[in-house]
Amino acid sequence: MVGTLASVETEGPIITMSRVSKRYGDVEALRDVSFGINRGELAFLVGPSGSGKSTILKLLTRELLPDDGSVYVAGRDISRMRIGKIPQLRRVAAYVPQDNPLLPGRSIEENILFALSVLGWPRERAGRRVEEILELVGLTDRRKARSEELSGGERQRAVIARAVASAPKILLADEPTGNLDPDTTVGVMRILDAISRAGTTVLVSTHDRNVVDAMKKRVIALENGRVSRIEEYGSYRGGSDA
Amino acid sequence: MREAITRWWERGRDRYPNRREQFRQVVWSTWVSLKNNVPLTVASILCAGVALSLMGTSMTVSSGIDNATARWRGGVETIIFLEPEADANVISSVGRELESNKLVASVSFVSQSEAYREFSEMFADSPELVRSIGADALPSSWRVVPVSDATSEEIESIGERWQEAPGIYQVVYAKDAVRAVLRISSTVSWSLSLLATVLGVAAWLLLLAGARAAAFARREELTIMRMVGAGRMMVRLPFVLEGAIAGALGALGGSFAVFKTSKAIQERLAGDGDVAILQSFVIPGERIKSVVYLMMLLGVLLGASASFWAVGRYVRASEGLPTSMVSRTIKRIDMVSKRARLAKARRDVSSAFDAAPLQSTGLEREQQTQHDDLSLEHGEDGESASLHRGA
Repeated sequence: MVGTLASVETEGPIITMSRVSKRYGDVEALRDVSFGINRGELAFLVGPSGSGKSTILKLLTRELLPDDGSVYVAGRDISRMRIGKIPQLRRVAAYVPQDNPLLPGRSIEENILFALSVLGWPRERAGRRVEEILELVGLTDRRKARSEELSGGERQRAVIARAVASAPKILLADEPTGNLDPDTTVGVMRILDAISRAGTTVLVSTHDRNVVDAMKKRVIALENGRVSRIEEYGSYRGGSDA
Repeated sequence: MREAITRWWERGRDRYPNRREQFRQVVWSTWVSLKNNVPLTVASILCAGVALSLMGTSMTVSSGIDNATARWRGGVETIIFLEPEADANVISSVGRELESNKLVASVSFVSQSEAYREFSEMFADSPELVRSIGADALPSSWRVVPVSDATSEEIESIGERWQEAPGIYQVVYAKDAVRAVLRISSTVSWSLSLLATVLGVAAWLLLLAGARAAAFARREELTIMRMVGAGRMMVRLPFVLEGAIAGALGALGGSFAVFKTSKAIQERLAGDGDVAILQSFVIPGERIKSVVYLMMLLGVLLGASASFWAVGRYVRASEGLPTSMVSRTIKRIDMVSKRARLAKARRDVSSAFDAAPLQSTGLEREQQTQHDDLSLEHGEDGESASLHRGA
């Protein structure tokens, strides 16, 4: 099959935003935003509501197009990418949205299997993969629970499991701990950290300063659609344009 | 052509390496959607069926009228049938006299073999009848087109001369009924076609509404499919299949109605001894067959295109494109012009560098590395890459 995750271990930014601006009508969501994320890094986008965190994540999955500037993911300017290539991008950059969508009336296991089957994974292999992923997110015992029966934390973990099931190179999580209690938040962050240590680049948007402080990772702070500062905790060498 | 098809197939195989599993998923989704929207699906099938059956019936009835009035087309008002055993002298003398008549605009001879061919085409469904008659049993004839300003008395006077002449079998005139049939047949045909088109549009809109409702009911599924990287076709296919099935079922019902209606009309009219022209109202089986094929094709296209269109907004919404056609076009024009500006800027920079070469800054190498480094072609074989490698 084409492509492997081996390249994740190489140096250089896997995500680069260069002077990106985005408007929604008269509202300026982003202005001149530039930053880079290294391969395998776990980084945070922080800022108050409306600062442009979700917009950045949507730009990275080509759910939105920038009005100006370039968005590079895995070396490609995705703002100029052909529409037919978007599915390939989304297999590389998985997205966990804020509202945690799961298929209603179906179990966690079925939700993950659904994602793998639409990507054409053979059933046996998909079954094995589901086992691995459920173990990773700690939901093996709840595999048969329907989406309506899940708690907030379980639901969040199930959505993360579905997102990473097809082994993306990048995981983009939008407020994954938004409505969770502190203990559950820690659990979810541990899972994201494990995913990052496995080689997947993880970019998490949050407004919860405590989570960010506890994780001690690089932070890109946004304010009114601009990068206000970048706090270096790790070994980021790609530099920032901001 | 064959090579192109092979290339297309191989490209699809590369893009969808496990088509079997994806096909299973598509079939399952289609079934669930059909099952969950029974009333709407039935309404779509009925509407498509009615529209298509009207269209089909208008086509078959037109064909019957064409057959019934074939010999009277082109302004023919009088036909002089000759005895089957009439000799060549009689035939040519009738022709000469008709040609010299000032009331005759044109005259054409239909030989026994031509008459037999017309008869065979008309009764193509009854080969036994055609075989039992034979060309010798049919009369040859002269078909007379009078001058345009000829009165009905003048037209009758053309044939009167031959009523009792030797070698003449019969003189027939286009009566008012025939003229009326000829006059209204095209009007009726157009009206039915127009009605069928209007109903076809209504059926398409209903199929569209059905597909939209189905897409809305499954919007979470659509969102998730696009989010995890399912291709456009994978997202659309269950809906397109559902629409095509509804359209095909409608067309099937419509075809049955057309078949039954055509046969009933034919039997009713052919049995009407009072109006001679209607006895030649024959709808050939081949014609019905071709109409049925056309209906099936149209049914599938109607259903599939409506669904394709309906799901488009959900697909486009997840691609950063506006859902309305106008905004989408504006956006695309904007993107194209932006690309053109960028390309021009690149050309300008490149020509500036050509004019004054600078020492390499390594920028090009870095950009190249970025492009070569990670391919977006990312298959599932990388799978477990693995989350467990470092965990």
